[in-house]
Amino acid sequence: MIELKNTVKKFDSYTALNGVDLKIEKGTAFGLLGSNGAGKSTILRLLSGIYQQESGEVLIDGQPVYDNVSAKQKVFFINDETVQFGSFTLKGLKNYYKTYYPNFSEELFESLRKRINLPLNKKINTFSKGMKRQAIVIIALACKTDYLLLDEAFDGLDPTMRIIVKKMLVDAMLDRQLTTIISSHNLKEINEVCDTAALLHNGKIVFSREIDSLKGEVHKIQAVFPKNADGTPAAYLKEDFAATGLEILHFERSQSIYYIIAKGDEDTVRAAFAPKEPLLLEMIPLTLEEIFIYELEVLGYDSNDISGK
Amino acid sequence: MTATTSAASKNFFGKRFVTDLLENKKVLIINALLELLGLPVVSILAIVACYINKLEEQDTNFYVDLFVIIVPFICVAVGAIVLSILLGFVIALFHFNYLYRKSIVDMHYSLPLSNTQRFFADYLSGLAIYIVPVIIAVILSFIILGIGGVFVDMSEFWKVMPYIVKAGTVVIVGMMMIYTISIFSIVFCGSTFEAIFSILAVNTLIPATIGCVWLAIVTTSSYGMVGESIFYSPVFTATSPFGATVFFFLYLFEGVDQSMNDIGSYYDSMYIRWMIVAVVMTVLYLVASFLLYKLRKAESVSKPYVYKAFFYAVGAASVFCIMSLLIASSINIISAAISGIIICGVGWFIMEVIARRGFKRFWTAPLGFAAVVCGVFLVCGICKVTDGFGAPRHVPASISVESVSINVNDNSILPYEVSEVSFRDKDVIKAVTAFNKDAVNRHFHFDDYEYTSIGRIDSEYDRYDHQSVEITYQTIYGSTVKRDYDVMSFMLSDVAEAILCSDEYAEMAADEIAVAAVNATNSGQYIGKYSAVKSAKKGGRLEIINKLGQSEGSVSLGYDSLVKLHDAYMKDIKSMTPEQLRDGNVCCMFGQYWVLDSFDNTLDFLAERDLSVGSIEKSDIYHGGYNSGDDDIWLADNVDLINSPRFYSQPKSFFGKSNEGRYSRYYYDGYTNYNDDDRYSEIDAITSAFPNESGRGYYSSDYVSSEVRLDDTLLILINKATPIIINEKPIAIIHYKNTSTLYIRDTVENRELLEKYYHDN
Repeated sequence: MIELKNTVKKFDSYTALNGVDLKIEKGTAFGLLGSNGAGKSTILRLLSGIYQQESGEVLIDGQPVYDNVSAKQKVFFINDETVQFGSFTLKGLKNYYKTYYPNFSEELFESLRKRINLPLNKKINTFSKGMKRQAIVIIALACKTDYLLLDEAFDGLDPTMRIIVKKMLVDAMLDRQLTTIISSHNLKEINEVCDTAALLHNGKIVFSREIDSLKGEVHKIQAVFPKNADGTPAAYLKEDFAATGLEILHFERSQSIYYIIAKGDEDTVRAAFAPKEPLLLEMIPLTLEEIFIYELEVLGYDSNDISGK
Repeated sequence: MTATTSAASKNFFGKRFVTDLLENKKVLIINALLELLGLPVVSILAIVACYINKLEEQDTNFYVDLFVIIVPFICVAVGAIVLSILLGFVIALFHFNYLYRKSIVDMHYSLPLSNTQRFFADYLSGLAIYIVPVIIAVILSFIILGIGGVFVDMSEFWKVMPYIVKAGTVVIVGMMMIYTISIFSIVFCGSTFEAIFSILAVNTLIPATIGCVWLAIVTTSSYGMVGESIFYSPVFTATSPFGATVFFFLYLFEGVDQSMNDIGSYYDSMYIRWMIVAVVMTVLYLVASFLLYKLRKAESVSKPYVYKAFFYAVGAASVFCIMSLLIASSINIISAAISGIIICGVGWFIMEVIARRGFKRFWTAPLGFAAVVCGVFLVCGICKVTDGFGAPRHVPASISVESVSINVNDNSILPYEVSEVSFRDKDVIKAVTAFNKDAVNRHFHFDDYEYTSIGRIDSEYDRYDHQSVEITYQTIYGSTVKRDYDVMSFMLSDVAEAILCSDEYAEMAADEIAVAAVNATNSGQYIGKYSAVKSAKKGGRLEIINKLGQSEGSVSLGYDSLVKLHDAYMKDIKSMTPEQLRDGNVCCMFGQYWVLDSFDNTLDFLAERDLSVGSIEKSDIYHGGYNSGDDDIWLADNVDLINSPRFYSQPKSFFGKSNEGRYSRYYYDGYTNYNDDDRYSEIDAITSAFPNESGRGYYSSDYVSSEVRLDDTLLILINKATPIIINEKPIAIIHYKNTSTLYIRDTVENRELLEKYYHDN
């Protein structure tokens, strides 16, 4: 299990993580979401022992990670760079990592390599960006670590390769309870691969829970209410709904049609709307991307504000 | 669990070491090729040279221009060795590239290695790539020389081998320092430019700063300080690759040459100390690198300087060096300081712009520069106020001195060869430190001493007394302290007495007599030292002279006799008491080494061979004189008798604070009227132990007032005169030709004889 307890990480005067608490169970496919500079890569580098936290704890299976060989041996980190392996051939890179990871499986490496048909003896700097990604992913999987950390994992992969790589990851998760932590801006892929996700913003965790429950807890509501006695459209404010205890993430009204994003289970939402006797109450489940946007909007990270609208 | 982790940790260290070697195998191959072109080629050339020399010895008609044949190969070999040494910087940069290349830092830091394992595996694998080819080349060279030695007589070459091996170890330790100091420099930086820059800066600034601090000390308070002594100090030679290079060349070209000639080589004796200091410094650089490496964070990569203090240290050292060089080389300190500030300011702001990658918070740059300039002036000010941080006042305590060598630039006090001896005798060390304290006190407490100024200087009766003394202390702590003073000879009385009665002097003097004897039989072929005499198993020819420097005869001595003479003379000197030295009569001399009447063993040796050492007769002096016509009265124009001489010196110039530089003490302008100048003071005693008198002016015929009547009284006085006078004022001086100066001591008998002589004549 991975745990971050009240973790603070600073880069000079800039606080990248500000008291992060996070728990990731073994065997989880965990997605790290967040705005740019939210601290996703920082968390991954803390978990792989590259960075040392200023305060708090970063634990893998109960052991601190930084400068701890046995904890680091359980983790393989793939960052968003591909240039570092340029001087190696795939065979050379495989042998390099094989030295450090005793569980390295030659058979698995060979079978994965054959699946994506990567040349063994060509210099990696002659590979395309996608091929470089594939190369390091199959090496990472062949190392058979307990934890695999991927920063922008699918960056540079073509759609077919994305599917193949995702399949490889899923197979490993199913075969040996591999815990995967993926940081990506591509929420669709997180949605497809991960069962749990955390949203980071300004160095803090906004939420961390299972994606399915997350989707069930946030709703996009389209509602129409009866007109007033004088024939004017009903004019409810955001506060009118919030007063019922509902957490409103987004509120928009166009004539008599209301577009509301609200948190809570379906029954609670319906119960909150019932007193106003809506003529139409349609609840549409949100995509992860929409949840991401609306959650951040609440925190002031509004695309309209940023774009100056 | 702990055991498992520990085993795994050890395992990963080894694995990292191996993967590093494999990853850098190209550099290893290049280094190995360079090394193979170096020492093994030199070894083959040595065999060829020995072979050709032997052929030339066997056949005088055979001649090969070795220089033309060897030089191109030597150039290739030396070039290869130099390139291989410079690879140290490159290997360090390659092995720790993840400290300044952002794209690879994750790859290295995320591997299951602790910081300690990663650092030492990288350090040692780089060191192996750097040093192992050298060791292989050395072994290969020995094999080549061994095989060559079977076919070619290389006996001459093997004599030099111990020194070459030592010089080689200096190179290897220097290479380790190059590599370690490069890593030390890289650890401070987070980008490629700064990593390369800091390697250059650290390698330059460590020796430059030490040199400039020394320069500041010597220029602000020069009393007794010797500028060149920095090259003798491990503080300079063993703290940086540049210093190690200086030491290597001094050792190779001076130390080896001296050692081969059995001269007590300073560099050879310094070898062990240098090795210890250099190894300790390398270890310190390594430890500092490791601690800084552990402290630095992965995210620091891409910052120009991981430790900002390093940037300011480099800047401050640069400013200090430039300012001190400008001030030291300029007559006008103010203009030098202003131009220094301008030059350094421009350089500083350029470096700030580069380090900041622009003008971010640039207002702090002038503040930093101002602080550094203030710091430099503060250091210079403290240096000035404290008389060079008290360095000129420092005299090592005698118990902390391991050995001392002293060079008195006047062989009337001690023979030149004494300067080649490192004295370990406690009495000598005590006497030298006491003399040193006396000289320091005379300078720093000048007013406590009284010097009587004298007016007119009579060229005939006045004798100038001046000794230049250079002292080198080797302390038990491994440091070297060198001093240089101008003094009056009487100040060296105890030093002369302690040295002349010491066992080390006895051995040296006996060796010199034996060497001179052997050289007298070798037409044109000079034999260096006593060990060469012993190995040559040759006899010699001993010439005996009287105290006027005239030959009393010579005798051929076989090897055994020569050894006997050597041992007899050594025994006599060792058993000589200070009283015998002061009061003894010089019977005869071997070269400049006198035989006193207390030297029973030497005199017995001479008696056994019927070598007379009788008194000086009128006929001995006749060589340069003539008979006046009277049978008993001879006129001698080669003898000069100076009655009641007056000795004077320049203590105010030697010790006065107004003299800022050593050379100003020699100041003399051709217009100065000596008669009006009060810088000359009369002195009450002199010290002299050998017949020459260069320190008090060579004997000159200009000083001879007239022909001297050589009557019986003067003959008695000449026989009683001695070259040895220690802290006394003689009542008369006898010069013979321009070879000998003898003194007539102030005794009742001598006064009466002198009065009688003047009365009779």
